[in-house]
Amino acid sequence: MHNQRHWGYIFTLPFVINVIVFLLFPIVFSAYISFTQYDLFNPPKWIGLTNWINVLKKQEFWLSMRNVSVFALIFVPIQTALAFLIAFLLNQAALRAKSLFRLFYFLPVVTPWLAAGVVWSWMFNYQYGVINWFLGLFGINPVNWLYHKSWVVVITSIALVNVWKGMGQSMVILLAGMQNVPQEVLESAQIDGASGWKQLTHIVFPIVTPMVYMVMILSTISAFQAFDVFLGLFGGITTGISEQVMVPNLTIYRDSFLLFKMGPASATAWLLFFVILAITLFQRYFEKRWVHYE
Amino acid sequence: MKKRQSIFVLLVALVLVMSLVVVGHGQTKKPVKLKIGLPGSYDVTSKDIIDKFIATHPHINVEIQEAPWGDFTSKIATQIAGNTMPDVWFQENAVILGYGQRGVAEDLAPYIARDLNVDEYIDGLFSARTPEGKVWGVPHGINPVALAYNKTVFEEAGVPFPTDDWTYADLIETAKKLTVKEGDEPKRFGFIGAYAITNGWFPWIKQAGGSALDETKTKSMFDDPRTVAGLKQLRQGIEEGYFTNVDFNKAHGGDLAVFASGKAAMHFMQYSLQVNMQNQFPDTDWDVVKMPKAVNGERYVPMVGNTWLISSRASKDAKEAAWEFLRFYLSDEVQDIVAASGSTLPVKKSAYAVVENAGTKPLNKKAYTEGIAEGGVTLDENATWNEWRLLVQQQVNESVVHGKISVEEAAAEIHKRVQAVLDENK
Amino acid sequence: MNKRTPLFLKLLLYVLLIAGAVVMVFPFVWMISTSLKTVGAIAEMPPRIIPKPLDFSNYETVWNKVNFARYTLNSFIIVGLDMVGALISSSLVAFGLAMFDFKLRNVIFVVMLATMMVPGQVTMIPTYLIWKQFRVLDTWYPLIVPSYLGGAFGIFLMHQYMKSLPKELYESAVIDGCSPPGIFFRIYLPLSKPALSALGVFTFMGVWNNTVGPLIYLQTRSKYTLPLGLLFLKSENVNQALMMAGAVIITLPVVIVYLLAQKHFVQGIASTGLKG
Repeated sequence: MHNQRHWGYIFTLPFVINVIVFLLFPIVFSAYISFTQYDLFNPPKWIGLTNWINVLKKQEFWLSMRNVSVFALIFVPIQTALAFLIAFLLNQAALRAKSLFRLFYFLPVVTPWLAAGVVWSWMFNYQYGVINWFLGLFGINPVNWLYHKSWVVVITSIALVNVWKGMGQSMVILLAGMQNVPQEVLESAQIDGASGWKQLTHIVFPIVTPMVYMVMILSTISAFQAFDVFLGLFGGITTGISEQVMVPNLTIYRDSFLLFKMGPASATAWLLFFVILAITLFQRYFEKRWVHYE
Repeated sequence: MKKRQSIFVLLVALVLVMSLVVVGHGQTKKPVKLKIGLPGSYDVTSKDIIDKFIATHPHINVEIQEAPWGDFTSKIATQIAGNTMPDVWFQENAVILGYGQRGVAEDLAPYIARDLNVDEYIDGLFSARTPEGKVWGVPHGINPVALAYNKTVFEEAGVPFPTDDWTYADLIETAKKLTVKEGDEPKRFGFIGAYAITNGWFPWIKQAGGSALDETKTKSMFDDPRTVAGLKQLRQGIEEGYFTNVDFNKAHGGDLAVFASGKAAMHFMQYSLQVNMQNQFPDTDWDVVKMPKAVNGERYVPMVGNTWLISSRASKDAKEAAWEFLRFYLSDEVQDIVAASGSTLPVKKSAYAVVENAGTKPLNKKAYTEGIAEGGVTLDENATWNEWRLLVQQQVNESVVHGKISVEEAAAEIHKRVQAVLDENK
Repeated sequence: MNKRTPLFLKLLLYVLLIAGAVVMVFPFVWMISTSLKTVGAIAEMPPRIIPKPLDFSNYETVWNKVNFARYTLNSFIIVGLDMVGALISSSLVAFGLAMFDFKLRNVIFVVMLATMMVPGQVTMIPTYLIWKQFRVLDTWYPLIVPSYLGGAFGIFLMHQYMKSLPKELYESAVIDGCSPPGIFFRIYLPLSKPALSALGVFTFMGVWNNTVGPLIYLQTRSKYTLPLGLLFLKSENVNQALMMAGAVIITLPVVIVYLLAQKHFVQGIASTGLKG
C-alpha cells in the first residue's frame, strides 16, 4: 500500500461516477418503492412498512429463503472445489489435448438455457430419463428429481445443474489465476518429488487464494439470485413452479412484471440484498485467515 | 427483402400522393401521430393489415413498435412506468382487465356504442367487458378449444370417430378403449392429459358443473364439490393411465408431437395450434369436433385471446386515431385477413365463411366457430386472474399432475388462497 | 501429474476427464444435432445424435427470417465498444483499489460488491428512467456508456488478480522513478494479460447475450442486436429445430472468442519470465 492517496481517487473515479450517476438513483428508488404501493402506472403511494410486514408474514418468502440458502450451500462449495480441481488438472503441462478439454469444460457456460433446459429436464425425467435408466442398471429405484415430494431432492438436482452451467466460468478465472504460479517453482517441486496433491495444496492453492476467494463470493451472490436455472428446468414462471421449490428472484420477477406489484417485489429484493450482504461480509471477515495477497 | 422494400417505397409514394390529393381538396384531417405496439411483430399481426391502414389513413402518421412476443411483458411494463408506452397495443385479455382496473386502458364502451353495429360481431367482442359495463379493449383474436382426434388411431382400433354430441363420459370411455399397453409399457393413450388452464383443468371443472370463480368473479368456487369432482376425473385418467402423464409427454416431444404421432388418440386443442400442426406434422390425419357436453347438458368452450387496448394517457387526437385503427381492424376486410391467418379467430361474423372454407386441416372448423357461438366462455378472467390462476396451477401441478397431494387437499388450499387474493383486491 | 505418475493413475485421470467432458458437452451437441434435423426427425424416438438426413435448411430459414447481416454488425459494434471500455475502466479502478491506501477504499470496494447484490428486476425501471432523462432512448448509449465506468465483476476480477501479483513489482518501479500511471500502463496492464483475456471473454459473452438491455432501450429495428432479433423467432410457433439453429448462431461467436482468448489467459508470468 502506498501513500500517494490522491492517486487512489483518480484511478477509481470512473466507478465513483458510475455509482453517482447510474447506480445510486435506482437503488434509492427501489428502496423508496418498497415503502409504497406502486403499480408502475399510478404514482407510488406511501404505505410505510406494510410491504415489508406482508412479505415477512408470507410463508412463500420463508420457503424461498430456505430454498435459496440450501441451494447456495450445495452450489457454492461444489462448484468452487470442482472448478479448482479441474483448472488445476487442465493447467498441467503434461496433459494431452489440454485446449480441447478446456473448451469442453467451458461449453456449458455458452450453451443457452433454451437448449440446456430441454436436455436436462429430459435427463431428469422420472419414467423415461437417462439418469434413472442408468441407476436402474444397478437396481436403484427411479427418483423423481425435479418433482420429488421432498424439496431437498429437487433443490439439490437444480443446484447440480447450476454447477454444470457455472463451473466453466470459475474454471477460467482460476486458470488465469494459476498463471501466477511460476513454472520454475513447480518444476523444482517436482524434482524434489512433491506429489501432485502436495503441489496442489502447498504451492498452487496459496497463490491462487485471491481468485478462489473471488469465485466463492461471486458464486454466493449468483446462487442467491438464482433465476435462469429454474426457468430453464421448469419452463417458465407461468407453468406454476411449486411453492416448495420457489426462490426469491422468481417471486420478485413475478410480482414486478406479471402482477405489477412493485412494492412487495422491492421489499423482497431488499430483504434478499441484506442476506447476501451479510454472508459476503462474513466471508470477507474470514478472508484474512486464508487468502494470501502477495 | 428487396421486394418488400420496393413495396414499401410504393406505399410511401402512394401515401404522399393521396395526402396531396386530400390537401388539394381542402378537406384535410389534422395530421396525427399514432404509436402502435406490436408484440411478436408481423408474425402475430399480419403486415398486410398495418400496410393497408397506413395507405388508407394518410393523415395518421403511424409508428410501429415491435418486440418479441414472450419478452413484451417486461418491455411494456418499463414503458408504462416511463410513460413512453404506445397509444394502442395488445396483450392477453386477462392482462387488459388488470390494466383497466389500474387505469391504464381507455374505456371503449362509448366508442363502440358510437361506431360499431354490435350485431355484426360474436359475443367474444366483449371479452374485455367488466360486470360494470366498462370495455377495456377489443379482441385481436379469439382462440377457443375443440376436441381433436387422430383419425388413423381410431380407424386402426375400429372405434367410431367422436361426434358433437359426446359427453365427457363418452370421452373417458373411448379413451379407455383406445389405450394400449404392452406389459407395463404404455404404447398408446386415449387422451392427452393436459393440465394447463385452457385445455386442462378449466374445461374439466366446467364440465362437472363447477367453475373457478362465481359469476361476480369475487368468490372462489374451489370449495364446490362439482369443481373438485372435475379435477378428480382428470387426475383419475392420468393415474389409471388412459390419459397421458407429464413424463410421457415431455419425453416424447410434447403434447402436439404425442398426438400427431398417434401415441395419444385425442387432445383438447386450441385453434391456433392448427398452424403448428400444419407446419410440423402435415401428414397426420386428424380433425376436430366440438368440446364434449357437460353433465348439465350445456357445452362450455374455453377461449383465450389477445385484446387491443388504447392507452388512457394518449392524447385526445391519438385516442381517436387509435380507435380509427381498431375500427379498421374490426372491418370486414381486415377480419378476413385475420381469419385467413389461421392463428386466431376473428370476431366479425362475416369473416367466418373464410375460416370455415379454408380447406386446411382440421376440415371441421365449425367445431370452433359454432363451438364458441354455442358455449364460448372466458377462463373466469378478472383483474386478478394472473395472480390467482398461478396459485391454482401450482396446486393442480402438485395434485393432478404429480400426485404428491390429494385433489381434495389441493382444492381446499386453492380455495383459501384464491379467496384471499380476491378479497385483497376488492 | 508428471513423469513419475503411475500409468494406471494417468489412465484413470483421463477416463474421468473424458467422462466429465461428455456430460459437459452433451447439451451443446444435442443443440447442434437438433438444429440439423428435419421437422419429422425432431420427435423421433430414440433421438439420433447424427441426424438422418442432415438438414441445413433451418439455418437458411433463420437467416432469411431476421435481418441477419445488419443485426450481426450491430452486435459486433456494441460488443467491441463495450469490451474496450470494460477492459480499460475495470483495470484502472482495480489498480486504484489494489495499490493505494486511501480513506474511501474500503467503502468503494464494498459498494462495488453491493451493486451485484441488488436484484436487477427492481433497478431496471429506475435505470430506464435515468436514460429517459438523458433523452437517449432508442440509441446505443445505454448499452455502451456504462462499460466505460467500470462494472463490479470486472473490477473485482482485475483487483484480485493484481493483488496476487508480487508487490515488489510496484515498489521497485517507484524506486526507479515511475509514476503511478506509468506503472499501471507499463507494468501492471501487460502483466494482467491472463485476467484481461478472461475478462474479455466474459464481457463479450455478457454483452453479446444481453437481450434485456436492447429489448428495453431499442425501438427501431435497424438498431437491433442479433440475439434480440432472434428472440422474434419465439414469437412465431416455430419448431424446435429452428429454435436450436438460432441458438447455435448466437453461441458460435462466443465459442470462437473463447478459443481465441484461451491461449492468452493460460499464459502469464510463467511465460513472460518474471519471478515472484
